[in-house]
Amino acid sequence: MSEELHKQIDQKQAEIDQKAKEAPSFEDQISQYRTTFFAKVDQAQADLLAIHITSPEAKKYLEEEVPQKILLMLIKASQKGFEIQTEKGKNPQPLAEIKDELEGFLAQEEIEIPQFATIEKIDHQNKELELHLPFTEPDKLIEAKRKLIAELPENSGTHAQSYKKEVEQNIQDSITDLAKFKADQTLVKMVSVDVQAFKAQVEKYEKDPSEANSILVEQKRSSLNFKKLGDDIFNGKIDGQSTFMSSLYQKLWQEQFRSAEDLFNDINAKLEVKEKISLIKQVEKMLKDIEVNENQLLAPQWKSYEEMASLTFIEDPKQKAHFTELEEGLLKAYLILKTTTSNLELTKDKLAFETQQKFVQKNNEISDKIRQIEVNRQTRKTRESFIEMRDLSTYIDFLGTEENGKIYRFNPAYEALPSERKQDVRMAIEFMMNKNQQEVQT
Amino acid sequence: MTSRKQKEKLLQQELVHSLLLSQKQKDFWLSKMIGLPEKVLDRILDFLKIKNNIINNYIDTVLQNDQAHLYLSELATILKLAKNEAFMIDESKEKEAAEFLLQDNLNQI
Repeated sequence: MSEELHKQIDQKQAEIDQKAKEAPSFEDQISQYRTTFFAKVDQAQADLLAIHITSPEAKKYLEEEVPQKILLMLIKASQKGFEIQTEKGKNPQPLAEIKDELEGFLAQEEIEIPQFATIEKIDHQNKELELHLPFTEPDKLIEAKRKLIAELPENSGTHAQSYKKEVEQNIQDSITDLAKFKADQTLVKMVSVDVQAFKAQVEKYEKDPSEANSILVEQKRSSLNFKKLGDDIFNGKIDGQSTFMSSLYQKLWQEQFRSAEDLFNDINAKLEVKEKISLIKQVEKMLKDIEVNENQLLAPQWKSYEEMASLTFIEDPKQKAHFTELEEGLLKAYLILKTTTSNLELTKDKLAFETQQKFVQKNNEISDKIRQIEVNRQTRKTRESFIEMRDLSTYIDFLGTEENGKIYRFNPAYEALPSERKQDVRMAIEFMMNKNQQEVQT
Repeated sequence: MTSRKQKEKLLQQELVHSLLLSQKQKDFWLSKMIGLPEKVLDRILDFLKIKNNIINNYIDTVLQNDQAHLYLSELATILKLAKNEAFMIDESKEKEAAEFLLQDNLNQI
């Protein structure tokens, strides 16, 4: 076969493939046919009317008889379609049955038009009532809605029945919502009453700032948690879709709940200012009392205590007893002061900055004193435990005697000790030597 | 949401396309349509749509099986014949009118 012939074959094959690609699929062909057919049916009437004819008889023929012919052809086609589907086992509904159903449905609708009209009117009246809200008292709205329910046709036909039920249910649901609203409205009224009671309690407390009145004010104040009350009553009822219920809740929130909250916040803010002033005075008095107490009583004792505590060892039993008594007395005094300041620890954030600084400083000073006593006690305990150590000589070497006394040197055994232990051993040796010196002097 | 006007238009279309209702029935509902309670309008529209869809489905089935496009040809034939028939009626009526006019003129001479 020549090369030229091969080329021709390939070219033909390519043309065939291209044509196959371009040819519409069977589904597309059907769809196109269907579109064309229905467009032709829809256009038929217009096409016929566009024909230029003059006689009324010809016009009547085109307007009345021809559409009937087309209609007949379509009915025949649909009957054929029904038969094809039946043959395929699809169990379609016969045309006559569909026709009967349609006519029966329309006849019943026609009979029930007056009932539908009545129900629709009531539905409309209900919507108007909700839209314009001629009154906002829930009881009046409930009464008006009940009247509407009573006006619904008592014995509605089979078709209007479901519509009647739908409208009745809608009204009934809104009555339920209104009853809930009424309960919430009562809650808001109670909140307003509570705020008034709080106001009265605060006024009473201002006249008589006793502890009993203070407790009553605090109880009332903590019971009025507006965040929680607001969430309980209004959550999900104001936000979201704008309905007549949401507008009722909006009104209740804005006009009653918020004014109660504003009044509460106002009273509370004034009360808090007074409490703050009172607290500052209380703390300042306390700080002054502590200062006087410290200067007059504790400071001289602390000086004496610190001097004695710095001594390595107190041998004299009387002196030792005095030291112990002094230490215990001071510890007790500072613990009492600590308790006094701790009572105000929680409220310190309410203080003015300067007072707060003074308070914190004093608190730290007291804590430092207590800590110091504890450290002293611990140090003494450690020292005493070293007295019992008999092997201290293993860590030192005797070098000789000079004018000032004996000379020792820490030996390699000491150097080999861990650093913490070294310190303890050194303190114990110094303590022992000091003790020996005192004994010699005695 | 469909407006009342749109619904009326849709119902009109469904009524016109219905193969199962007589012209008298169609005319009755078309004349009543504007004053119908909206619920009734909705219900009839929905019901009619369902029934019309069934019929359309039958016609679809037929068209799928009509590979020779016989139904389209039949429709074209109906239209063609209708046009011819209309012209013929028109022509004969014109002729009758002309003859009548001629006779009338003759009578006046």
